[in-house]
Amino acid sequence: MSANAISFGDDVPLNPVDAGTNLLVSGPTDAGLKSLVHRLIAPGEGEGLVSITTDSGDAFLRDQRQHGGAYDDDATGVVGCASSPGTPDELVRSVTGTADLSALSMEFSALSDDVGYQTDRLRSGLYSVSPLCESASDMRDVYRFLNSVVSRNRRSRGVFVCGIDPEANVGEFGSGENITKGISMVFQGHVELRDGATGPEIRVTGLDGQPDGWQSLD
Amino acid sequence: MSGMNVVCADADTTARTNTTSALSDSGLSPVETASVADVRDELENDVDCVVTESDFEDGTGMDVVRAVRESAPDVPCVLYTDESPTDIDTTQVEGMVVEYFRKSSPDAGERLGDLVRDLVTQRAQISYILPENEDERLAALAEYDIEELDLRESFERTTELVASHFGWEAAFVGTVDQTEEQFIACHGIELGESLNREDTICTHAILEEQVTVVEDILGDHRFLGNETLTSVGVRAYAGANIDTPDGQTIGSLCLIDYEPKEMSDEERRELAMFADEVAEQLELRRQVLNTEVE
Repeated sequence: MSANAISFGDDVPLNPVDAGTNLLVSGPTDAGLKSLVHRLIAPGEGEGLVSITTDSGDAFLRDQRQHGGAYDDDATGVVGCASSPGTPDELVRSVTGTADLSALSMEFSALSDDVGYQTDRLRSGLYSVSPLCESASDMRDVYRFLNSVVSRNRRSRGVFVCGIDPEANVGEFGSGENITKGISMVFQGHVELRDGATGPEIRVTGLDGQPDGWQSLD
Repeated sequence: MSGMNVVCADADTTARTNTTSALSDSGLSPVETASVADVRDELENDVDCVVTESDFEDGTGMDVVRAVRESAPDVPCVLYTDESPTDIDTTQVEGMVVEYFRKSSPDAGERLGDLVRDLVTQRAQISYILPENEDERLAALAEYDIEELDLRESFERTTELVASHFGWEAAFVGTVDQTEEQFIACHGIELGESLNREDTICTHAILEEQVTVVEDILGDHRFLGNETLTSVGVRAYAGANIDTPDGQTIGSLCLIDYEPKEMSDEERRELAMFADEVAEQLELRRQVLNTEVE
């Protein structure tokens, strides 16, 4: 593990990861998928955060602040796929829908550059990729989009966390399980979430130095 | 990868000169263009990256991105402009993923060169997944001069026999290079000399150790929107890896059918054996050719 390792909050049983790590988090929405993504991207001191949400951007930011982290308004931004202006103090951008990957890629790279330039480290998140798959007319566009975000994170030496619900509707083509398997190959690390006997549990694959097997997520 | 060829598109002469100067200072090789049409012409050449403004007399920056995706889909594009993303019309081009970089951002000229270099080396805008050992795989493929090996006739016989053996409509042998799949021999299907890597099923097959079978591409999300496949009527695919003696996968021996099709475990084992025969032919010819050269 490098000296620049990136840590997570005490409420997530994950050890620090290398700078530039890309993580896919998969699991049922009902088991707390969104909350887990929020916890993983909660910024530490001096870190920035830029997220993509397929819903309303300002609502996502409000939820985000309920999951720990140290937030600087000038270094906390979101691109939403539903119109949401946010307050004057918030960096909220919107695109017209989940099908417009052109606008989404531009807004995300512009905001990431603005925030990343003024912070030591950038965390980024996407919640979730499932609606992008559902509305895509060509899955190659989704893969190109993910590759561009993953590549950006490697360059900026941050951490990128992408959520996917294998049971979500992904349109008429294929199954959510197959799409999750395919998309997981874009990412180095895969965090699986499930409803265990005593509550939600996670398991990490693809990354060195992480706990073995299923861990309770309190 | 120094000396990367970067097409720099900007209708404003002064701004274009400033951008190309910045790229040259970063050790890159920029080519100036002033219109969408000029970019299309330049894409006939070897291009590593395209940096474009958003407004031209004959179109927009998004038209430039579309031109790149049509002819060289793996080439990364940077929209280098001060026009806000919000003001850029994307209604007709929703799938055109592009890196946006604000021209007036701090140290923009200096950072643009680094950005271009990173986008190219990381292959940041490809639409498929690379094998983990891609560099080693490409180096292994470079050891085989396919034209010089003169295997087309032999492999045409092989593909005919393989299609007949399994009762599928077509078979082919292809190698997967950095951006394209090159077809050495085809039987029962006309694929031309090559296809962009993002259009081929073998791009996905070489990620797997086992024989890849797609029983019906219309039910597989990876091929949603792939008009190259649907235009020739491909429905079913089975592909076995062609591996070098060092275990690098350089291509595939494949079966194609125009109806959905299944493949038994025994058939998969047999297809893998045929692929091993193809690999052995390639290696033997390579060794003979090397001996003759020496």
